[in-house]
Amino acid sequence: MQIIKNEFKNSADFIVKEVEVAGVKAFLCFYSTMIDAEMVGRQLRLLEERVEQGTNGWGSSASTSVEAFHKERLVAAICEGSAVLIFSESNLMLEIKAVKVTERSPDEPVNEQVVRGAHLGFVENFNTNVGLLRNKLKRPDLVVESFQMEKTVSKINIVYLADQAAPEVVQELRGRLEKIPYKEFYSTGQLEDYIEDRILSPFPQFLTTERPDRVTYNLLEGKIAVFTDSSPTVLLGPVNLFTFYESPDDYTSRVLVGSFYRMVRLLAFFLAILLPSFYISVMSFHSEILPVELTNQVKASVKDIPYPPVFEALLLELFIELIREASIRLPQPIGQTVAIVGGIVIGDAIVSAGLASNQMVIVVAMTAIAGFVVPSPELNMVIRMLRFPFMVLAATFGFFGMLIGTLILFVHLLNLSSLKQPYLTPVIPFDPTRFRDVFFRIPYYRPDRQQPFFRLGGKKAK
Amino acid sequence: MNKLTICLMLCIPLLAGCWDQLSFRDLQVVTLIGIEGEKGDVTIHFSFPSHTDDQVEYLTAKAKGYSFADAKNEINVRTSEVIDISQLEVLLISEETAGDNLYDSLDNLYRTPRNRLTSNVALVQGDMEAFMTQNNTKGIGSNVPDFITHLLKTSDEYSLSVNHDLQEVCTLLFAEDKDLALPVLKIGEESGHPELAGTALFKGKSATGTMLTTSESKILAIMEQNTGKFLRGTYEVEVEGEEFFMTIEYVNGNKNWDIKGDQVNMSYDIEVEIEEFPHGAVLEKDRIQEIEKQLSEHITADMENLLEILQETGSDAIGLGYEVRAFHQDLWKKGDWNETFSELDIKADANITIKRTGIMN
Repeated sequence: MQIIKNEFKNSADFIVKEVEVAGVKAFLCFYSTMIDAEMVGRQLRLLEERVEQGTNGWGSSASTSVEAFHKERLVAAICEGSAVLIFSESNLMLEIKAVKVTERSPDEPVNEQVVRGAHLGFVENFNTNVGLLRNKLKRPDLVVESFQMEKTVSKINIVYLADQAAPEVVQELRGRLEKIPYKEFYSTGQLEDYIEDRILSPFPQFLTTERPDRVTYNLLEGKIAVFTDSSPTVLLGPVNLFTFYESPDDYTSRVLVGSFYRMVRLLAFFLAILLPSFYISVMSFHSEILPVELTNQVKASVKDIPYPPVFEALLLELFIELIREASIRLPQPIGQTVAIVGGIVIGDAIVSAGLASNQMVIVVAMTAIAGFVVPSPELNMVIRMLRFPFMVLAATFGFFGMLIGTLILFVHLLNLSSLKQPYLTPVIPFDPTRFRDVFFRIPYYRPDRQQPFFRLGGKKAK
Repeated sequence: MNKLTICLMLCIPLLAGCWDQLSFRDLQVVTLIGIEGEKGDVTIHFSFPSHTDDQVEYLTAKAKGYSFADAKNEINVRTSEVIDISQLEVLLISEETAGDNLYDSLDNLYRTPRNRLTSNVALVQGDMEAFMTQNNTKGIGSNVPDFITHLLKTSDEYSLSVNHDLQEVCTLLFAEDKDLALPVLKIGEESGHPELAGTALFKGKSATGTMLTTSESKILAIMEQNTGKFLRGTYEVEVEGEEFFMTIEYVNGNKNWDIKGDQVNMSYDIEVEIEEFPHGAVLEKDRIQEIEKQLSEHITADMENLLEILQETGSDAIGLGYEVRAFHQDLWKKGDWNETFSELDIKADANITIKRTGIMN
């Protein structure tokens, strides 16, 4: 008994009890903080009944299993939250899975809300999460594969539709997961570092979401979902740039409306990256393109600004970033106050104080709003970050600098891949049937137009 | 490899050569320029907005120099900020200066890539200074450049004169087969502010000094098949022994030029709409034909009159040269087109059809 206790460093919540099950002496060991005591008691009673009835295989049921005593297995089972009965005479151990699960209800994730459609979200328990998925996808080819990291209890699970996902992509992901060395994971972000194609690229190569409906339609497109044990966040891959611009809203709203807003979002991508640099270029290099009617107003508001437009822009962008960061950290009601104070009061004061021009406030505000249009938070952050190099390029070389910047950006995007699948597909490599789907939300009832993700990618990979 | 790529990327911007920053803050936007004087002694007037406490005032400055560019550089001596003509709206040229060689004054504008080529160009009669500064602020406000821009736009829209932007001016100056025509402005005697005086005809690169009136300009627009949005004219017609003034609006027209040797027959089928006809109903077929016949006679007469003026000045503003150059090389090769044009025997013939009568018939 002491040996077992020593194995668990005499932790106060580790309990070993001598019990008698159907006349046989045994040790019951468990973490009192992890198990559901009532459940264990019920299982023990059931066990006794079965032994008395002389049922064959008395130890096996949905939540119990019998195996030969093995110390490492014992430790692992107890760490996972099972109660273990050790029959020292017959050298057997019986594992009773009775984890007490503390679980919140599957509420809609706060940062991924939709107007219409399901309002469910993943929780911190893998079993519940897959349950949510299986409720939506009632088909046998929904496969779960588990990857138990050596020595660690963190479990990584991948979920995919065997009929939809391309086998070579699944194999690729499997290979990468198997290569992960021993480490505890706290977040999917850490896991992402191991399985991304290029870690230093600013663009995310996996879509993260907490919405079961989003995972569902992505699985149907042939993507693979990566779950970690204790996080509601799911990684979806392989993705292309346009995946990040699709929102579940697209498919719950009407065709025309969905298409319109999808195009608005794509426009916002360019707006969010290029608008401030465009303004800086015009102000510092190419004022001749301003419409004549506008020159008086613009001139009046910029003539007293003491520094070049690029500093003005950087100052305001910095303000916006501060406001955003502050309002995330603060509790909800105060966060809104900060946003209002920051947005309206500072915005107005900064102009009357002569620190920035009216136009710059408009440009920066527009840019910020365009940035938040992206349905995916991680791409949103990338876009906000990308603005800064563009602003510097615009301030040094004007439109020419922006052109060079855009060139580098596109070269990078073209080189990028997600699980070895090209990042800009279906635009490059061009696939006309799926190309339409990037800009329009195609009516759903036409099955020939619903193209799986791997139509082209799969062929190419061979 | 990666390092090399990064190095190359960083070098690309430097390859583009000189990219001087030209901050909008430090520029003085000029929207109206007036050129007068002759080669070797050019005076340029600049009009630009000045901002003082939310108020926009239009100031003028002038400079003298040997040429346009010389005077333009001279002006920086007396303005606080750098003069920037890339936002130029209207370029005014005095009639005398245009009488020389117009291109002399414009060369600099075409040479600098930053310059706007969509500015309007107009000739002015009389003292340039009077156009630049407006004392009659009640009439048109202080924004003279804006006023003149809109004046020219309106006159183009109503086909009162031709309107060419800087780019077209250059094309026409160098074109051998068509001559330039530009609107002429004057200071109105009653109003005291700039008004449209007519259309100046050019021959080669210089103004001829002949000016078409606005009604002649309308006929020119019809013959050139280059009408504005509206083209309206009033003619006297006789119906049942009574005389009426009838205003018609040009709807559509087809030209048919027949060139045989040095005989040119220009016939036009013109569709019009009745704008005003105090007699009232016109619907009877006979009456319409009668009116159409009278109108055709009037307009034919106008056209012949215009052709006479054009041939006298030797300015082919209609663009007959295009056709001749393309299809009648023998005629084209006779010599200088302007002279050939003057010597041609040109007949015009207009055939008016009343297509619409308004909602009253």
